[in-house]
Amino acid sequence: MASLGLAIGTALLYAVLSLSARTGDVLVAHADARDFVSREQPSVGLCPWREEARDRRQFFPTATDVRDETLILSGKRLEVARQLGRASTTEENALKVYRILRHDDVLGSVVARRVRGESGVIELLLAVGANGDVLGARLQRLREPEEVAQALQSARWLGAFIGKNRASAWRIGADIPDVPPAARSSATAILEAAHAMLVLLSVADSAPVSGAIP
Amino acid sequence: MMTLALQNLTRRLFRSGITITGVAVAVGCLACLLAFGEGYRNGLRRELDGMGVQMMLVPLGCPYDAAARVLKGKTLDVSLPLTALTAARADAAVAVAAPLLMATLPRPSEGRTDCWVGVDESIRPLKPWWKLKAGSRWFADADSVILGAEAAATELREVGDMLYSPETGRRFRVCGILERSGTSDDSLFFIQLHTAQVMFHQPDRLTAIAIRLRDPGLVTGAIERLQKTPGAQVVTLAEMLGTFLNLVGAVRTLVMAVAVLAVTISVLTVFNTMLASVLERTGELAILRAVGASRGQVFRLLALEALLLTVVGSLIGLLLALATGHSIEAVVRHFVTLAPDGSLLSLSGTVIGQCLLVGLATGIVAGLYPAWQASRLPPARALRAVGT
Repeated sequence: MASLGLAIGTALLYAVLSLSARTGDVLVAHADARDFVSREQPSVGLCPWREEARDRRQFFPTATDVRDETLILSGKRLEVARQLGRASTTEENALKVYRILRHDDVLGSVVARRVRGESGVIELLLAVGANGDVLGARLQRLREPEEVAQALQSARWLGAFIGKNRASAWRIGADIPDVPPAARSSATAILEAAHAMLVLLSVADSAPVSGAIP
Repeated sequence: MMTLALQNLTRRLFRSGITITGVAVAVGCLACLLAFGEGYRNGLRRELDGMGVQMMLVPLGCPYDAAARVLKGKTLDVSLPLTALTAARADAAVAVAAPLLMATLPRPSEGRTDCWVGVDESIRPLKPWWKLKAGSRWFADADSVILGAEAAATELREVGDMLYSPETGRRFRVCGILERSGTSDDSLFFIQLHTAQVMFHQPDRLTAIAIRLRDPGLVTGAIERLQKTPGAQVVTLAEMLGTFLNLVGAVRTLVMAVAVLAVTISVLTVFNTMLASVLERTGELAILRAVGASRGQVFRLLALEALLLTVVGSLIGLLLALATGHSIEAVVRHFVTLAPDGSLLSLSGTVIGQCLLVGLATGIVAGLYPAWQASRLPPARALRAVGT
């Protein structure tokens, strides 16, 4: 009789466990929902080109096409560090470049980068000619107080970028017009980022990059 | 009498052993089932508590739309008066009532929307998954902001940095950054409730009140009372809670069915053993009666034997449950891959007490009839039976 009881008990225990497994579904959904959202995403360094048509018209009016490439620079870290005068950061191991084409000819490149502004992120966009000189700059996004935003977005200040390249001097107040004290910190960050972008582009273009992903 | 009972049991050691084993298996099974039932229920309750909010007080309108919007970090078109918060906090069933004021600032050129949420200290117990990154602290003043992990990454902010809201002209200092939680909180900007009310021109207004009850079982009464709050309606996580309670109830019913079956089998086993013992010992019992033992003494002797069998069996069963419980838990976890965290085996004092009581009851129920039968044997007839 005890054996019979044990057998029936085992069968019922299995039924309980099966039901318990279904009970767990409530938690499955909960856990999965969190998993879907919680994936770490690369954010720093990757910056979208937000208004492609407008910028193409402004900086490359004769362009017919755009081709984007992701250049892997990890093999050239020493060269990058030498030209930057500092160790390169992790996000500087890759560079997303938009090649601006007129039929098969490359007119230049567009690169974008997120910059740590004083009051929030600033998205800097540089249009660079085939010779490495800056053709134009635009701040795609910034979260600065009005006075600072006006100074940084002024044609006078951003216009001073034009014609500069990686070898140019980028000193604020000397090579680039000064800005109000409240904007100094963000302006300095933008200039450093602009110089770094030109260096990365120059190093990437100096020789074929093995990891280029068209 | 105890000595005599023990001698009687040890004289038929094999039969007694089998009976004790049957009782031990039944009680062990019962202990494990009760312990797992309790442990699983506690675990699920912990998980539910971990979700923080059990109901929400939202402005009148479609309650489910309102709840979905608030849970997803979106704003509502209408708002609640501050008196709703007072009413919620005054309710005896409410453990925590956390006010929320949400406002969105669309940034269409960037394809995103900043969502600002005004909160106060009471939100913290409702967000048990919140972990502040190193160096972070709670709001120091009205111009402090706590950023979700995603918001901080998007704005490239660290603790101590400034954050400006161009649309409202407010400047904040980042006092804290939340670690990534995988919830909508990751992309939110949290500021003090009063600051949010001033910033978005909503003085004394709230978007919603997140509520946690002292006990989920108090939900019905709390709904009835809070529904009476002017301009507000209650949205519960009733579906989830209902599902949870139904499933746990179903599991408990099955567990109890198994327990009843095990105990019944145990009673029958002891009953069978004792009845066989009485039949075998008819002559012996008759002699006892003949030498002066009263009916009551014979009854007590047989009842004591039954009790000894079940008590010893129950104790061995409990030891068995203690010894094998964790191994069984491992097997259970194999079947229930997403069981709640923590131990599923809750062999509490209550469970042990219940098992011992059931063991005693088994002994009494199973021993009553054979003992009564034995006590009713007329000595003369019994002696005649022995003589033949």
